Amino acid sequence: MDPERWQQVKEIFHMALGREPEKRASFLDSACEGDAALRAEVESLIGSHEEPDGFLDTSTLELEATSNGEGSREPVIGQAIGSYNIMDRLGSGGMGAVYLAQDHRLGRKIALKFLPAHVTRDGHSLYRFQQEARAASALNHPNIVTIHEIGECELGHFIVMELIEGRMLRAMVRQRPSLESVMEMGAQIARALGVAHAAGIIHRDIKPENIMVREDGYVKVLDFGVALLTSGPFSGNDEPPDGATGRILAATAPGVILGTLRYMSPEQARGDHVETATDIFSLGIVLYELSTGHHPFAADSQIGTLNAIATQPALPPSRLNPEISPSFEALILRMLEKNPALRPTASEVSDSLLARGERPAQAEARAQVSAGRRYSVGRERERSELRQAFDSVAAGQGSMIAVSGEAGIGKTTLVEDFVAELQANAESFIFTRGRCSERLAGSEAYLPVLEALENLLRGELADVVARMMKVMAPTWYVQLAPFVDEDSSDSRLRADIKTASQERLKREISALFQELSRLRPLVLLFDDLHWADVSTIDLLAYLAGKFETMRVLVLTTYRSSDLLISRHPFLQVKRDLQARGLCHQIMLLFLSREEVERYLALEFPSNNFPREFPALIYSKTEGSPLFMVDLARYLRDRKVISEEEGRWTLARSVPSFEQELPESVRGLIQRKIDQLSEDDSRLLAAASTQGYEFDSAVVAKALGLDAEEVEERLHTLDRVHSFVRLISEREFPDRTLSLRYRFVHVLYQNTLYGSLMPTRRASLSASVARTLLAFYGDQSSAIASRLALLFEAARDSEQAAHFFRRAAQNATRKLANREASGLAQRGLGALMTLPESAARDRQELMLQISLATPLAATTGYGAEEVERVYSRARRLAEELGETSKLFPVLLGLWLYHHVRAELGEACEIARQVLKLGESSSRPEMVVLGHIYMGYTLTNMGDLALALDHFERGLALFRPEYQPVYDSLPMADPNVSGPTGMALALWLLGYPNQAMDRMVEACSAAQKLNHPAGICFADLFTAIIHQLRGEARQAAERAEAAATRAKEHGLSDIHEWATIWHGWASTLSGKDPNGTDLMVETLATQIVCGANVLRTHSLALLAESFAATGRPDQALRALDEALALAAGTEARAYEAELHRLKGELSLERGEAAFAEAERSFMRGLGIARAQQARSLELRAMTSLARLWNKTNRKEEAHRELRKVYDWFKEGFDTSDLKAAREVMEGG
Amino acid sequence: MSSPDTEVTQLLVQWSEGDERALESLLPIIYDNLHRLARSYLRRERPDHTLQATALVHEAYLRLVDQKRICWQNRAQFFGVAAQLMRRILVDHARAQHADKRGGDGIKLSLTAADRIARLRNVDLIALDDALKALAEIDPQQSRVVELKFFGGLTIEETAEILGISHATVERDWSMARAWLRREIKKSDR
Repeated sequence: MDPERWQQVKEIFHMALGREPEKRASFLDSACEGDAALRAEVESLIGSHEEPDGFLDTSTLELEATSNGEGSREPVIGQAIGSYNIMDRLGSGGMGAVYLAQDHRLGRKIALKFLPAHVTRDGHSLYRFQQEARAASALNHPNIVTIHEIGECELGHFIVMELIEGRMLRAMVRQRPSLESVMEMGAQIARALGVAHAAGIIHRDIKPENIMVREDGYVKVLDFGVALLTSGPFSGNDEPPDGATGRILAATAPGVILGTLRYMSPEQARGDHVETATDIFSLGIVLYELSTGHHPFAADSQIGTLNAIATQPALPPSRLNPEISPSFEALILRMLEKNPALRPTASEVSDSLLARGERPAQAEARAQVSAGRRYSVGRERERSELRQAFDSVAAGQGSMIAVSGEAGIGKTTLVEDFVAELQANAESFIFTRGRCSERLAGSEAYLPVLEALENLLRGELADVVARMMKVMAPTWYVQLAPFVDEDSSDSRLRADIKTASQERLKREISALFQELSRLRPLVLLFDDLHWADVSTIDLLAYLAGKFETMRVLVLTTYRSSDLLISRHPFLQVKRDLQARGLCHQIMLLFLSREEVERYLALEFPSNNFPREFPALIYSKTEGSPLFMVDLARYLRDRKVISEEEGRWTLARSVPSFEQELPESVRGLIQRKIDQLSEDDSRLLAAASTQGYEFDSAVVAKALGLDAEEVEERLHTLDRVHSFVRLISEREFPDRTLSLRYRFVHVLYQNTLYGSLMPTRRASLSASVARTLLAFYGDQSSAIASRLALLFEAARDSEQAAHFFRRAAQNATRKLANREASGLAQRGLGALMTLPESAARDRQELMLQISLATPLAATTGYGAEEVERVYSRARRLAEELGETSKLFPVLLGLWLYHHVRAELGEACEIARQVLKLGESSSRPEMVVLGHIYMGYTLTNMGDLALALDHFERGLALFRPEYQPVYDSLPMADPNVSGPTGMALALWLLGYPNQAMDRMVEACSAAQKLNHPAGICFADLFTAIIHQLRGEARQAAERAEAAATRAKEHGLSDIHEWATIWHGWASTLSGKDPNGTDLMVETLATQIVCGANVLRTHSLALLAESFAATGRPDQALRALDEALALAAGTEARAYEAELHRLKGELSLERGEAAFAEAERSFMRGLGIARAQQARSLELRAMTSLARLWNKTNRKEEAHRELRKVYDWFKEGFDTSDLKAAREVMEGG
Repeated sequence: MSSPDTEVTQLLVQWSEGDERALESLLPIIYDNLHRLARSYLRRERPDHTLQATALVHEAYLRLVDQKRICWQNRAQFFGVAAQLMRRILVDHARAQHADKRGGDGIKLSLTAADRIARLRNVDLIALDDALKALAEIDPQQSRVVELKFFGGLTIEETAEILGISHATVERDWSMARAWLRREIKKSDR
């Protein structure tokens, strides 16, 4: 049909439809103007339009949802099925038709429900359904409908259940029941769920259609386990075809899920693993709907609803019904928490609903208390402080709150309550947290920060965070990469972070937080900071410095006494931040007696406790919240406190049990442990060995138990005994699936672990470690520090040492040098316990080498500890004949001696490198041997020989050696070769060639993108500029070197660059106080043992003093330098020292001329002996200038000319210009 | 799972600008996504795990909806893709079933939505798909309206939003397209 024709048909069709049916014929007559084909077409379309079959009216999604009933044949009224007689059809739901039937065996009426054939076809899910339905029914709870039988007849499978005469809750939604009755019904449903959950049964399909309300007000929950049937096609036996399209389609088929999509939890919507919390969410929706008349996630379409469930916060229900109390609202919102772990449990829901339902007068008193999970008393002031801090953060100013107090005082509870309160108030913010670990205290760099980032990457804003992180914090992103998706851009990221530094890590994360906080205020919680690693503390201090520009609230908790005892670095940082007004401290104290009383009143509403009871609790616990809560629970568990007719009473008199009470919270915990079955306490002991957080699969395997059995027992320990809490489900690298649990309080883990006998502790640690090793496989180095500590506790020193070394390497990669040194040292400690053997020594050698690099990075290469490590490593390598390991060790030792200007030793080591390199055919090492030799000889003033070594070394270099140098410190010949040569060349009288070499070195360093190399080349470029008398360029390069060196923590280079920069800015008159920094830096270097450039540095200081009119100080600097040169053989600059001294003498006038001349002559002599023509020229120029003044002009001119004429280049440098002036001017 | 989001975004932009080939490239990516999800579910499956199979498709949807917040121009585009995807899945499956009945080696499934839809509502998905293709030749907009409403489960308002036309137009297009399709399918039955 051509478009014009179609257009015509369309128009006439619509116009005809716009008319009443009887007038259409006449309309068509005129509209079609006799075009019969046109008319026929339109008429046939109208005919088709009028057909009443509902064609396409229901979309495919809805079709699936409503097309379940088919497939099973229906019974007829009067038909007998077993001992049941069908009497009437009661209705039909998503899960089949329900009939009223008479059980003539027992003479009672029952309800009989036929399951649609398609849901029972899959044997596996049918079996599971039967199991669960029977189990739920066996609970025999008044709020759970009783299942009498599950049977099968020719018509299919059917369920026989208690007949409930009442209404479906669905009907009540429309009638808007009173809030009291909503709470009352909610409490009943929650109680039903509570007992089911305790028995490990999840309903999975809570909705108003599955809840019946009897005339007498009893609420009955139906269809436990029925939802299981809907997983049919997927959990069946047939293998999934590779083309999953068919599968997906099949997966969509059961329809019931789609039908009840409105009551799904976010985890169901996402297809995640479902826990009991899913029922809480669904019940939350039901309660919301009942009390407001609106569905919290209503949307235009199914997908819209699903999206809202998964991502949108619910509107606070009080906006729709202002009569809803704040506490009921908070409860509902907590039930609708996206994160299942944050929802209250069923019994918490029923408890708080009951409390409210029964005593509405008290509802408001409770509103101040955070809803649900636990009752908090006191802490009102603290909470309002937190609230204020949040408000000011939201307004733009970041801040830190440090919550301090002893173990069990309720630090975490306070902060969690506060966060829950923010959530309940529907505040918009991003929350994440990280915890420091006692076990890993200080050894795992950035532990809590990485955990917090990981949580962000898994949280609600995962995609946004990942995207931002890739851009703003790539170094961190790569650290976390094993946890996040593989990405093709990763390799680029990895290449990009080769130049990472600690400074950059800090900068990146603050940029990331800044950006995130632009979206919403960011709340970061770091728990147990008294166990934090140094790097984390550094980072927090850095972040605090940027608070002005980020909406970040950093919440920290710590035990003040632990902080003091360990003299933890956070102490100082916190004080500094407090002084700057960036951090506020909240000190939590024990609860007052009144607060204890209030708590008991809340926990045991309408009690008739004697007056001495709260007093007893207070005096026993001294107001320690954890002790108090656990003691109350203990008494209830032991039935000392019991509920009689809705009133809590003491079953025994206070004096009769007073003596039985434990003395401390640890004692209480110990008693609870003692009451456990032997199996359970073995299980928890193994768990405590893994740590505060642990995995069901690890515990199971370590104890040789069945994984499912352990999961079940942990479930009971969680729900019934409150020992542990489920956190999440996770998968190990070997795909083992596990549930991650945490002890309810770290003291529980402490007590359990502490009560283990040494042998048991060792054997459990060994099994846990081996289990983790198996689960992680070749990824075990990711948890190296955990494994190391476990093997250490297992007294498996060999494995412990191995993993400490891996952990140290991990930390070095994270640039956490202090942690790396600490780990390597701990590994060495473990090795000490092993008997001597070659294997042990080999391990020690590796550990010493792993220790040396981070140690040198923190202490400087000249530190004595570094030498001890290298010397020990050297001895081991020699004894073991590990030649290849000897190279890095010798190079480290050379650096040590060279930096300290112990040039004789340095020379000796360079010689050994050469020898060893030649004898073991390692030409790449010979290259380095020559270059190192060149450096040392240059510093000794043996310039010609030095140049010879440089040239020979560089001649041997081949590009294919490059990879070897990457792993060695300061070792790249392309950078270090020309750099060392430049210095020798300048001294030898080739100022231009010297500069050429430096340009070469700089470009090589840039090409390698190696930060230390770039710094090093920049520093030496500054030095050559200084020697050429180019102060401005020297200042520029020195500044560049200093900045980069600081960023990368290269302290040696940073210090030298500071000195050169000080010289340049003083001489150019820019900074009259430049000398102060030079003096300070030179003092630091003494401590670090860095002497190699010291004579040269002191000469610069002397020049700077002289230039600013302080000749005495200048002289002292020169004397120190001269003494040093004499004592260390660092003679390269000695000639210049004498010349400078002579110049200083001249300041004192004619009387000192002779003295000055002597100094110049000495300088001249030394320079000549070293063939240091540049220094010779300087000395001669100074001498000639003096001679000019004393009528020895001719001699002056002649001698200076001799030196000057040797020069072939550098005529525009200040030294040659000065010489010319002296010769010309006279 | 790898995140082809930039690619997807680019394709979506192209598609929204009228490049139908972009959709051809887009669908395999989303398919692929679904396949991988399905596999990862099956891998994790254990007897005591409830496998919410239905959630598979929705999870894929949700992931895309989530991304929409960041880079998709509008919510509507997502529904557009979802509708296309639904159509493709259902029709492909119906074809596979059809082939199977004739002894082909298609995927064997006990019971499927496509089957039930077909049996219950007299909708022959294959015929519908063919008719829709024919309609697209004559009136692409009407064909899109049907796709969005029937396969995507969208409301009149949403459909109007996606296509950038008024409600009234959607309603008119819908009624005519439905009439036309019903007639065409009947014709082909004979």
